[in-house]
Amino acid sequence: MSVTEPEYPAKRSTLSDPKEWVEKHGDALFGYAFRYVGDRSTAEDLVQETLLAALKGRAAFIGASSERTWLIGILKNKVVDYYRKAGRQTQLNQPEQFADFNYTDDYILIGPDTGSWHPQRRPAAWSVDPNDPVEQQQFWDHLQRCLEGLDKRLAQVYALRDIQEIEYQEVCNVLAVTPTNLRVMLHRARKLLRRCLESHWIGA
Amino acid sequence: MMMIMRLMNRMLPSCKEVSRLTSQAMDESLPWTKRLGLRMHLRMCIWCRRNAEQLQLMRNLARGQALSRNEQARLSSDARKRIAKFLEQNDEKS
Repeated sequence: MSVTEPEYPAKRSTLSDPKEWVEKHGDALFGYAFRYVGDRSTAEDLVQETLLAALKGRAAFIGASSERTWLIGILKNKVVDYYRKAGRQTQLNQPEQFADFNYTDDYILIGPDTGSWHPQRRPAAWSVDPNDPVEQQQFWDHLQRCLEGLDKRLAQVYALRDIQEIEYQEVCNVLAVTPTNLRVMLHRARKLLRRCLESHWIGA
Repeated sequence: MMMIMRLMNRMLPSCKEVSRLTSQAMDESLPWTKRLGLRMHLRMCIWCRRNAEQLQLMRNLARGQALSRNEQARLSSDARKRIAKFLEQNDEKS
């Protein structure tokens, strides 16, 4: 082969001075973290942990991605760590709340109508104007309160998927659950929250 | 007629099953048999239709609110200073 291919040096990015990181990437990292954990102080902690890890690990940066992408990658791992720790704690001391909203109680359990709505558990009519800012705000406040009363894990599942619009598979990754497991938890969370909103927001 | 009704009932998913499918359909596309059963049941059953509409409404409202909240999410100047200082201290040590 006499033809020599022209060689292009692979584009490598280099890191900027760590002193500039907070200014340059602080908002982006915070925005990302906030979307995943929904809480300002937790998001700030994650940004700090991320930048610290980046500082200590900057010798390993090979420049295959941009500085921003590299930092977001570290942050993603911190988010997973956060949920792993949070998951461990909720299993230890989080009793199942809303015990009265029993999963199967919504439906008739025996006879020819098995599986139909129990007459007292049928969904009520909601008269909500989704375009009214006042109702939007009321909805949000009640949703937050209902989420606080919900089992921690179910609240996380609902927040990630139905509030923060994170892809299904991505939620599985972040929470380290199987797709089947997530499906069951989402169903349960939606059901309990709908019920909670119906009795506290709509019914109020 | 009774026979047909009974057969339909046997084939169509129950409300309990429809509730499950309604939630699932919010995240993934269902196999066509399930989708058909879900659609036919929803057409006939007002309770399940309400349930489905309300879950969708909740999601739309929640996502709408979150979107505007996320846009305003900025690192506060306090946090900015605190983190910068923290990094500086740890940089000296390393």
